[in-house]
Amino acid sequence: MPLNNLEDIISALGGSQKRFGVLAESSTTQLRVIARNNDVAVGDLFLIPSQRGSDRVYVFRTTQYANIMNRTLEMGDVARNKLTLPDAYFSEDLAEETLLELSGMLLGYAEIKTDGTWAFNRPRRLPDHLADVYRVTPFDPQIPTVMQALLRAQLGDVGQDLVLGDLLAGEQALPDVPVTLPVEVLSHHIGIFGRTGSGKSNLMMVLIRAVFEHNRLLRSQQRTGRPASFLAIDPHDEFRTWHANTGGADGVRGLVQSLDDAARDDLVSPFYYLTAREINAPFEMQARFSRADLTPDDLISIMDFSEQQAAFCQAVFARQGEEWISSLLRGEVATEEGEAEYLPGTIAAVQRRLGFLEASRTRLVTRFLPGAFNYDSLLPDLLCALEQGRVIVVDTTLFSELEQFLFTTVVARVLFALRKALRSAPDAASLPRAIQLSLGHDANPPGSTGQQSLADALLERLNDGRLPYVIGSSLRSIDNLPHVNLVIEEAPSILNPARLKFGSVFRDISRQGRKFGIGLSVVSQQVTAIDSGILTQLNTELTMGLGNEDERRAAIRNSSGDLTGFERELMLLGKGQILLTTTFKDVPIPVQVPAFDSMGGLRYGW
Amino acid sequence: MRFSLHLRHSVKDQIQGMAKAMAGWDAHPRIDAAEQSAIAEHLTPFPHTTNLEDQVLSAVDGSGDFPMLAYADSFIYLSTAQAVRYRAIGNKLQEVGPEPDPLVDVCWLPEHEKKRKAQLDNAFARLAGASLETIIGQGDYRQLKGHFTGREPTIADAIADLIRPHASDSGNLGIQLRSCAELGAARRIIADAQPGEIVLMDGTLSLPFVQRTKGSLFHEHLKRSCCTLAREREVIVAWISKSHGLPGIDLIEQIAKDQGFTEHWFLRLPTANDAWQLSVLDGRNIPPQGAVSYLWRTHRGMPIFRVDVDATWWTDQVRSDDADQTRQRETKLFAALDFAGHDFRTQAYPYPLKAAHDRASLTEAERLALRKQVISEAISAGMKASAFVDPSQQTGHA
Repeated sequence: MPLNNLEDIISALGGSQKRFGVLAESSTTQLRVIARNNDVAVGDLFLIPSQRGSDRVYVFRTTQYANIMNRTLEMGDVARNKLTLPDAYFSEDLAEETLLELSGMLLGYAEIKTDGTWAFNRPRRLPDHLADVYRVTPFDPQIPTVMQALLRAQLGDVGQDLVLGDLLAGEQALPDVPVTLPVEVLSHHIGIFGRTGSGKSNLMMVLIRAVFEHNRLLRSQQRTGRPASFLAIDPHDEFRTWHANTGGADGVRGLVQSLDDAARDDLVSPFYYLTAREINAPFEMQARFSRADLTPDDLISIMDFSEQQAAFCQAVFARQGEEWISSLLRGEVATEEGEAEYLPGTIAAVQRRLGFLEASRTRLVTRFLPGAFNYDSLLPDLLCALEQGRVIVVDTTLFSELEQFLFTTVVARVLFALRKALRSAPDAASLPRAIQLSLGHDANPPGSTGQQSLADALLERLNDGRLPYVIGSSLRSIDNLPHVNLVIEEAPSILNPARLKFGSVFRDISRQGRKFGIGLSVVSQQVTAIDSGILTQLNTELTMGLGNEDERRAAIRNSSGDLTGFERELMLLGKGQILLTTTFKDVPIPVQVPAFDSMGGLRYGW
Repeated sequence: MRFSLHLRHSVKDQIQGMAKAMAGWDAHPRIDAAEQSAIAEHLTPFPHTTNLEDQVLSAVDGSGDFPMLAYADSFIYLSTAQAVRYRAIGNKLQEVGPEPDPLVDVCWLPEHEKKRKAQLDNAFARLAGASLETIIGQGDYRQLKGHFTGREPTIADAIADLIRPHASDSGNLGIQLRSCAELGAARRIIADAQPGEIVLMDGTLSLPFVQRTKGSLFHEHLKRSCCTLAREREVIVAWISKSHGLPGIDLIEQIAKDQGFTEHWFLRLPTANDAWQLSVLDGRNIPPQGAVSYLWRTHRGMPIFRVDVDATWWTDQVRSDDADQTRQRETKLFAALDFAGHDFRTQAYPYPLKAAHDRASLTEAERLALRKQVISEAISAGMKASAFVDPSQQTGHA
């Protein structure tokens, strides 16, 4: 049915007979509605058609409600009477006596445009006095059409975007009112906050599936734009098989298996799953980095180093290059003439910190000693995969916490360095040297070894096209490379203020990553534990239920949208329910993320 | 007013003096042993009534805006009243539909003598739902006046001698118009009532001018007209006042307690025809002329209410030569009133009255909306908007 004017909308909502309440006091931030005695929930959505100015429909979200009685000022007196008056009763009145008083936030308003469509605006205006209020009822078959017409720009484009879930009204999702995020959001920084059990893992699965679907539809030319890459750290090894082992849906493995061979080559190869375990399955590999892939910055980013210790590491790296870790672990730390001397205590402390990289103590990092232990790393292939648009799940169950953090850090740093090199290279011929220099390797005298092996491996892939930075004889623009998003699980461990004080690779990425198409997904149960510099760089937050008042306050304070008044909701959000705030949308949007189990195979939209 | 007024010595002295006089008057012993004994004898308990079948209880209350507007030499008064009707169905009340239409009257009164009188008489008639002649002729107010003054006025004299305040006398006009609205609504509901229905009114059955040879208030006639109509229709009308208007009531309460009645009792106040007298009634028109008054204690913790009924009805329908039968009939009325006070939206006060009050009351927003509507219509009819500018608001007095 056409919804080209206010009458159409009111008619679709059931006409004035179906009004739920009447607007009482109102301001541009807070509304009060007197409504019929019904079963409502905090978070319920309401529509308020109004003709003040022009035809508009205001969207109102309940943050609290109260039982009231018609013409009764003091409910306390009534309750007291009921308790103390013997044999008290409640007369049956003709008029409705028991009512509700709802108060909540004005999310904004939709205004009719000259072409008959609706444009959504921030809440800068107010509805008419005593305007009728309609409830957004999940079971009303007209509601999806109405909501999509009014909130089109805020809900997003299912045909182009990443589908996140359905619009949430109170405790229930509105079926067929999907909420999406633009793919661009992946090259920005995302905060995913929620207490244990709030549904973060399911949300990650839904995001993984959405990125997978995006790449698939791009390949089949059903949508346009850039591909996307998503590096999902999986501390519980859930994402690969999800609930398949207990009779539920298969995870990323299932998504991969739903593709034909050609699609797998284009969308999955060389791998989608990395683990510390020995594994022999298609597109599933044992994760391994080389000691040659690591720099002092990587380690400083994930563990405590004093200034002297950090300087010592940098000095060793400058002298030994990619062999610096092997040298340190073997105790080959003698300084040459003219170099700064370091105290034995500093040296010993650094050696202790690097102990987790001993061959016997790490499953991730391989030894590197030219002649004895050659460069053996999946990092170059991983970087190439991310630059081609891939979803990669990294099972970190057998990694130590430091190894898990190290994995993300190294990938983030090198990818960032590569894209900076690509941006800085004036032409395709200059790119190899730009890549070498970005990795600290300079073949020209006096020269420096830096990460020569990694650079060589990347240049090899640059030449054979796996690192897709050159098309013909031209450099590829970063704007044509995939949006890359790197997930940082247990983010407070590496994104806390102390760690970011100096030297962390994430400090630069958080500030500049967006310009290079690299975004971080900061996953945490706590908002307060994240460095404020990082928080200010987030421009999309998927906030789930937060049990702690301090965390709720921090989530509201750092939100990209105005979450004032949502304090209580952040406590009440159920499993899989999120408040989406993003600079890509004008208003906070409540979303019910569907259970991944219920989503079936890959298809367009839901 | 300056808030520091209460700190001034002259004001403090005045208040202290007044307080002493109040305390002295209140402490004056008024009830002797014989009187105490008579009170104890006439106090009557009634049962806590939790079940009542098929008793209809109606109630009326009024409100208004007096004046809602003033301009030049003219004033506009708004009067409203609302009646409600409930039926007892065992253990609660159920409203009987349809709800009577609210009585709403907008009255324009200029200061011009003739015009004002005509306008006011028209408003009285509209509110009463009948002409002044009909109402005055129907009621027994003139007979009561004749009984007390020795001269019964004719209908024409009564109309001519009606007290009609000046258009600007908003206090007196407010009382008259609001009373007429309430009684007009009551008259309508009595006319529509079935025999045995109880109609509850807020206030008393007092007739302030009945003992004066000249002059009367139209709502006095309307009050008695309601009584007459109620008798014809076999309907009971009870005026319930939250203020009994008597001093030394704590002594009567103590006597009741001494009798073991902490709640659920009534006491009919004696008239000159009774064999016992109550000294606290001296100098007060209680019971009012043509009425029988009761003190009524519902639940403990609640104040004592006063209930007035039509004396003629009481004589015909309640009073019996057998005192026990009289008490039985009285008890039936108070049991019904007690039952009606058990809705928990009130505290032992008949809920229909509370419902009528709530529905008749005008909120400030409603007053404002109606004022705007009148001004808007007046402008549409050709008046100037500037006529309605409120000088008090402009000068900061309102």
